[in-house]
Amino acid sequence: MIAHALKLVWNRKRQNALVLLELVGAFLILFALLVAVLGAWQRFSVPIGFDPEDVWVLTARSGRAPAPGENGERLLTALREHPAVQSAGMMQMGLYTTAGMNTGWYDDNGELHRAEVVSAGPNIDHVLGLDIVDGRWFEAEDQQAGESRVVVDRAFAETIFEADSPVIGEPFRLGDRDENFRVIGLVEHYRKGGELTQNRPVFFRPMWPDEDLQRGWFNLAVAVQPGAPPEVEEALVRRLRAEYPDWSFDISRVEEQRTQHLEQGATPLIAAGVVALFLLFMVGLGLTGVLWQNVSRRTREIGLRRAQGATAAAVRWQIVVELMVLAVIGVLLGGVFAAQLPLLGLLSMRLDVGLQAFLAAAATLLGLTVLCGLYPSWLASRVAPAQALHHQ
Amino acid sequence: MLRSYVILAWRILGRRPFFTFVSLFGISLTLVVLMLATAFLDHAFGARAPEVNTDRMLGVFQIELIGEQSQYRGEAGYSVLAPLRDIDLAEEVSVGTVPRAAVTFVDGQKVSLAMRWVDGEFFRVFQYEFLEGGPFTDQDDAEARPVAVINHETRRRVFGDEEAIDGSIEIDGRTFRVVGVVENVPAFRPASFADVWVPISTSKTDAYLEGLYGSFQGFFVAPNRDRMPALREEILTRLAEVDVSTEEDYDRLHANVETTFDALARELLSVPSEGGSSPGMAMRWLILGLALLFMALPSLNLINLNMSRILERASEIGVRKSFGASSRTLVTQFVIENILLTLIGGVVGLVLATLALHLVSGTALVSYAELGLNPTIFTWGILITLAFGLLSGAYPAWRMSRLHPRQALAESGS
Amino acid sequence: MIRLEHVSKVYRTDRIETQALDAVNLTIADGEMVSVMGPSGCGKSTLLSIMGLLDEPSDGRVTLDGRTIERYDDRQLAQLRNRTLGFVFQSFHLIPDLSVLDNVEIPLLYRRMPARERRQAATAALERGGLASRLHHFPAQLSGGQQQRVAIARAIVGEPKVLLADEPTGNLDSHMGDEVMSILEALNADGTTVVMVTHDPRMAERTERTLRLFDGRQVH
Repeated sequence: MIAHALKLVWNRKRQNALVLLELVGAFLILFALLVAVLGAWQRFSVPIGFDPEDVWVLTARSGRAPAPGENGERLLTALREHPAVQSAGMMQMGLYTTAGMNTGWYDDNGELHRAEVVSAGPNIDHVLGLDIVDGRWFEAEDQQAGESRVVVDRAFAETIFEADSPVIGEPFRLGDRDENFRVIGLVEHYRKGGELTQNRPVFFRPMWPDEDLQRGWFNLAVAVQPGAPPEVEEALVRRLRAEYPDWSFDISRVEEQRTQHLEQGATPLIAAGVVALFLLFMVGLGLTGVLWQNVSRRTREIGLRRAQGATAAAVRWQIVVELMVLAVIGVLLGGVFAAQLPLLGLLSMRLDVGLQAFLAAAATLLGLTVLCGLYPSWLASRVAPAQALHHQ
Repeated sequence: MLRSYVILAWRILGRRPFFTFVSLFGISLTLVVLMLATAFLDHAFGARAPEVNTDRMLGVFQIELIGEQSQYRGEAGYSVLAPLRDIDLAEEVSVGTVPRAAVTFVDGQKVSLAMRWVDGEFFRVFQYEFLEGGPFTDQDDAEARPVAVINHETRRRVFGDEEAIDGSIEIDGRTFRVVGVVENVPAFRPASFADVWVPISTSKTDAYLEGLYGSFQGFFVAPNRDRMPALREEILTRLAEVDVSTEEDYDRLHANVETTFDALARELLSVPSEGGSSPGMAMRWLILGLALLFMALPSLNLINLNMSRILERASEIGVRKSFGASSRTLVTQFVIENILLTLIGGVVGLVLATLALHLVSGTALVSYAELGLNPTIFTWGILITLAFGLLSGAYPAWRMSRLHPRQALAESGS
Repeated sequence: MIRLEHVSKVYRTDRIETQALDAVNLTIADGEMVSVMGPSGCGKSTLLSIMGLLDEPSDGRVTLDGRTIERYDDRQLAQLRNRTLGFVFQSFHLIPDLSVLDNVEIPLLYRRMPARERRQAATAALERGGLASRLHHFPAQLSGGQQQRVAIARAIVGEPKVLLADEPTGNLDSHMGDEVMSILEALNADGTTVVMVTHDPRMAERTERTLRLFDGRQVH
């Protein structure tokens, strides 16, 4: 049956070439969409490692280099005075932003590794609800420790240490750099960019609020009482302004940032999805038309088959299988094209996501072709042998 | 002749509702998407208020400070751009910051604002549509008067139904007097978008006066397009004279003097700032390529549908040839048939696109986007439709016309 | 009216060569009614397509209406077919998507005749065939005999000098066949040259002269 279908497909190669091209196009569109959707889903299902609920972030900017004596401690103290504030901490970067500090190093095998460096102060673990699975967060005693103590995430620990070896208390260096680090805590995840960003190794360095500021901007995170009213926002900003009048302060609710982040990530996917669905629907209708036309043109051939003993079901299958053979070829060709994308570095995707997307796209396309074949094949199965032989 | 072709085509379409529907569906869908994209591009890049001068405006959007060890890439400091104000080749020169986040509180509710510190000339470079009042002037800037121009959205949120002009608005702890209200500018117009504009000199500190880096951009309007290369040269020459020795880490300063479109394209395509060909050109090709790629599938669909009907219509072709139709006449006939089809699809598509644009504008997907149909988009829609009709009709028509009449008649005979 | 000199036709596919016509010489005078007979595959239809300028001979010369066809240029041929020839086919070949009237108008369409004149001429031709009440029907709504009468109306609407008919009665019962035959005879009486391929001896008897073909050769 399949071999027969293959032969028919080959003998009509000229007409089939364009249909094949259309199937390859449809496959590639499906594949691209699924890579994006599955990739987003896969990133979304990894925990972000912090809890945005009732967390506010205040961003301070001076528009100039910080003056000696300016530090974050005064601001933190001011914030803690407010009854609605439960805890407060200082950190360099805000949340739900892609801006950040990165570092890269070569390991002994000459392989390049990259990690995100997050500067954060004491208390941030409480404010953000960090998931510390081993060891502890930065405390005042670390400031005078005389060594660089860090908290790392699981992904970072895995790039530095052997699997299953202890992490807490262990020293490490980044490639051939001079600085010696010691791990005091381990978190499972920390993705400050949000749910839809790539998960990558992170390590935290302490940021001490009572030291002079390094940069003309930084962030303060506060955990507020659940349901704190908007007036609190104004009160907090005014309070900070009173401390540092020539600085600007912006305040944002992390929960709102989260919603915005998800909306911004989902909108292009939804738009692309709607367009792709319409395209597929159109392709489906088009293929149905082509098959229909095929069947009415081949009435005599079908009649002949019926006369020679083919059952209605066999005829019906023949029509569907022929298109499916084309679809399989299209999927394979499309797969070859799609495989070039990561090779050319045009599409950064994980292999497992690519594979899932390939399978899902292939299944959808084959399903579509079966659907397209339903009506025409039903028409074909209704061709009576005699009627076919006397066509026209 | 043409009229009878059209009538003929119309009848044939009417007799085949399924095929007509499938074709129309594909065509109008493609058109809707392309028109939405066109509307968006026109909104983002077209010469419309306030960026009416884009086609003869150059900007210094970012600079690079390059040293042995370090590199800075970002907006320039005030001291880099301010001296360029006396360039005679430019009709207008303005210096201002990129939008920065600022907050104001209305009845305890926080309102986030994108705020620009600009000079008076900014309002001559960018022709904002003033709904109330007017711009502030160079005089206001020179005397550091706390005045502000706000956009319509901010006016609505801060003042509601009350009078806005001469009203006061407190931003980051400073009180400004509102002198003008302008129409909203969408966020994807990075050169002109903001919620609030205030004079540069009202900055909280004088720190902005020093240093090579900061958050300033320069805008230069040439008298006409022909003078742009000369203006660009002049700006580059002047930037080359900037003294970099005040910064320890850097040896030289590099900047691209380019149009807003080029700057955006450079950003989007990550074109390196030095070397690298025109990013605007690359962007245009990319957009064209994407559009063609997007049209490819619907075209293929239509071609396949038309091809599958060739043999069904073989007898028709044979008859026409027997009775004196030449190949060229047949090609004309089929192409006209297809163009008629695409035009109908085009009309349906235009109607749907209008509805879709209305919907997209309704949802606040992009800040202050007021997408609508205009003559430009309409013209593009018609052009796209015709291109589509030709693209999907020509090949099948050619194949049809090449059918040998004797063979064609035999194909469908008994 | 039609002269074939030493006309041969060879069909070539990938592997096989078929000699459809082998050095055929014949002359058909103005106003004659001629039938062509022979067994299946003897080259009757090929002969008719070459006379009708639908196909190019591999060798030999065709003269039509005093004009020798030297170059087979698509546009010139199209014009010649349009002005001089009319065709009737065994399976009618009406365009299913067009009404009877539209079908009959086709030859006039390619003469750039104004729409109103086209309509008048087509209506007249159909009325002559007794189809005045069927102008706006579609082919599928007509019987076989009616369809063939429409096809004849289409063939004569442009007042061609030569009518080429390929088994015009082949798909019709004898009663309808007679009817069609009478129409052809009437046309011939009005001065139209008629060449008809048939394998029905009864029909061939009704013509003035019968040409017999066997394996691509003319036998007498």
